[in-house]
Amino acid sequence: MIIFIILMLLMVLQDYVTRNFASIPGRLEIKFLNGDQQGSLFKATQLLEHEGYLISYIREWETDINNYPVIVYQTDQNYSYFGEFKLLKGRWFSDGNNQAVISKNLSLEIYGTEDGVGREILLEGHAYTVVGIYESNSVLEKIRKGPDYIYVTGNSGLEIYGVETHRLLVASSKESTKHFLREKFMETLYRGGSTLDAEGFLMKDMSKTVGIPRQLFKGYIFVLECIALIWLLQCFLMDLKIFISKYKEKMRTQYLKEAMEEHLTALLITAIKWTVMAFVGIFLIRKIIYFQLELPGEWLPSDYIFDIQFYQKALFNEKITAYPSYYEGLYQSVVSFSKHLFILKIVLTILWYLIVPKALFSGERQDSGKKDTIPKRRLIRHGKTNI
Amino acid sequence: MHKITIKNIFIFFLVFLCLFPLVIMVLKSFSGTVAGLKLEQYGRALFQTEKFMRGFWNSVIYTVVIIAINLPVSLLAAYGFTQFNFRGRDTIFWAYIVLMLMPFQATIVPQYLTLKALNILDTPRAVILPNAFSTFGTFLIAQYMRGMDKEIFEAGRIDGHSELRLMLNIAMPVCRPLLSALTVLLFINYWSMVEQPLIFITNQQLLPLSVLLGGTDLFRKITYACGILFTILPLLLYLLSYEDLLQGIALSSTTGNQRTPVEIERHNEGKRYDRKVFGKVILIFLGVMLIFTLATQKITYMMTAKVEVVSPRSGELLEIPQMKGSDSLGYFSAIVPASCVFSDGDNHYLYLAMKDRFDESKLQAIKVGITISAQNGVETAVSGAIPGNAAVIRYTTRALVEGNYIDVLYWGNENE
Repeated sequence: MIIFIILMLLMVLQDYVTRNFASIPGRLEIKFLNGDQQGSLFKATQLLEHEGYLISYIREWETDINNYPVIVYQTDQNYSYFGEFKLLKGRWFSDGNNQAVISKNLSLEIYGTEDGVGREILLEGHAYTVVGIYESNSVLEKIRKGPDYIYVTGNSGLEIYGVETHRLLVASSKESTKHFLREKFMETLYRGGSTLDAEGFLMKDMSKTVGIPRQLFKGYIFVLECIALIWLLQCFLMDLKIFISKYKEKMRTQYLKEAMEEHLTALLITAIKWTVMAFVGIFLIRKIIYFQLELPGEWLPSDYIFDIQFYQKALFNEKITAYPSYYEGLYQSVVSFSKHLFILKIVLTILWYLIVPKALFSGERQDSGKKDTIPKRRLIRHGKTNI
Repeated sequence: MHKITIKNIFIFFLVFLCLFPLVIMVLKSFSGTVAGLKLEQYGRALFQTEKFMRGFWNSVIYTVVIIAINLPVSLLAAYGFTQFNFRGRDTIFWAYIVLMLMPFQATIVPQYLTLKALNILDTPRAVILPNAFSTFGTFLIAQYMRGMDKEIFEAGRIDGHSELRLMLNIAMPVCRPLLSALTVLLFINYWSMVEQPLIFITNQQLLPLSVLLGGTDLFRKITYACGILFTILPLLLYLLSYEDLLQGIALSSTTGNQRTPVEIERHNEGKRYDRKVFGKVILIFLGVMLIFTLATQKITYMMTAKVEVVSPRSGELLEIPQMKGSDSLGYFSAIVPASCVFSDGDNHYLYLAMKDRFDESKLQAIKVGITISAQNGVETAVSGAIPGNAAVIRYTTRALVEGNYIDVLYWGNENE
């Protein structure tokens, strides 16, 4: 029972995390390795927006405010589409002004109130007016574990004395660019005459990543359905065996009609039980047949599913980004969390499966071992005894 | 002594010759795309080839249904022929023998016309019905029943038993070894039938494995493993009823009661355990095949590449596509986006999305070799076996291999 409760809680938790993660839009992220590349992209912005892409630039660096570590995102108004947060107070900024959107926690830390809208914040010697307060998704924040973010408007004169990163976020805004975002984006750039150097940036397509934790969740449900069906079949066969042995014994001393009349209630209960079992079985079989698992193309070999060499390569050549973006870090954390939870649940389910039916069937076996005592008067009446 | 040695060598040589195809089949089934003993063929057959599974279950269904109808019908007919006297009995029995002796090729046309008149061509019934009422079983059982003592039946009738009860309680138990032998013979016959399904069924999805294995290139990479898997079920059935088969053949050939039913039962006592084991093995095999079928269904979906396709356009190809008034590279009948064209050294090819001829509801990636006529970096003019209404695969979620199933997410157009 304890294992069952733990399993249910874990399922609810995974579903909750998956739902929260699914609410964040997917994106294509380009991390620039040198400044020249950005200029080439800036020129292509108009073409990209016309071709059905929503883009947002980010200049990112780490700093601290009153010893409170923060990550600053200098970005544009399009970023609100990619955002992983909920605006509690105020609004998202518009381009051009020195405006900032800060977290509820930071507002509490530096202003002593959750409502810091209208106040000023000093970053690298520049003052920004707080126009909005956001609240991060608490579930995802717990999984990610990292400093808070401050979002500020673009300011070309701002000089950073630490490490800064430049990124471009791309999402689809048209049906035609919904699929194969990475390939289409690069082709659009190339058609537009862009001279991007492949060595000058790193590109990560995370437009379909939202679905992966969901697929892991679905995968576990499928395993559960398979186990439930096997268990149901076992139960039915065991029940049938007990039923046959019980009534075979009775039929030696009673006629069918007599036996049925005597055990009408028990027979009715058995019939109802088997009908329910049949319906549940049909339901499970349908679920199992119609289950479909979608995995990213790069996770599977091109031809033979048991291509060991492919899996070896995929396992050992896994690229780990040294300095992941917020979304990439979050995605990695959520996938890792989902994977661990998936394995834990499978182990617990198998454990539960091994314990429960055994306990159940051992009880039933003991019951079936007790032979029904037939009233002596009935035996005498039918002349089937020597008494 | 010398003569015996030569005879033995000759016999062993003959045995080797007979077993050679089987040995080759077993050995070859463990070869893969790379050198060494591999289970790749079995992996592909059992986990990735939906067509194999469909063919296998078609074979199982056809064979089981045919035998399930044929055996009781044959038993009833044989009982009627041997126990009752009615007008025309010998003529009908003679007709049964003639039908049994007639080669299938001689009856193809009338059978085809009959099935067409019944409007059941290209359905499983077209294969099941003609075979379910084949006369071989009736002939065999009748020949055996003729040797049975009629007095037993007379005694039963005097006791008030109905004919059905007499058949079930007297004739059937005595005929059990023969029925078992007949089941194996019928199973092997229908498990490997080729001509009837080939002629009466055109829908590839309804064909049994015996036809698919022999006549198509569907299982090009896995032929040997499929052959082995196809052999397992008849082999298990043969092992299950080996004793009955020997007895049945012996009984039917002598047409007399060499042993009484009690003697037969006693003889079979020791073999019951083996039978139970083999019976369980057959059920386990079918259960495992069911699990493999389910796994194949899931893996096939997982391995299906999601693609975007485009139609090739005809027209002018500019040297610099972004610049209006740029120099023309010429007019071409098939121009595709550059991302559609793949190269393997000097060989160029592209993939077309085409309907699977086995299952028209599915699309397959078909590799087509092409020659590049002109290109400007964005588009490529190609020539090759590309139909006018072709769907050329432009983007795919995973690397494609000839014959991969695909799912079209979007039909894009370069001019959009």
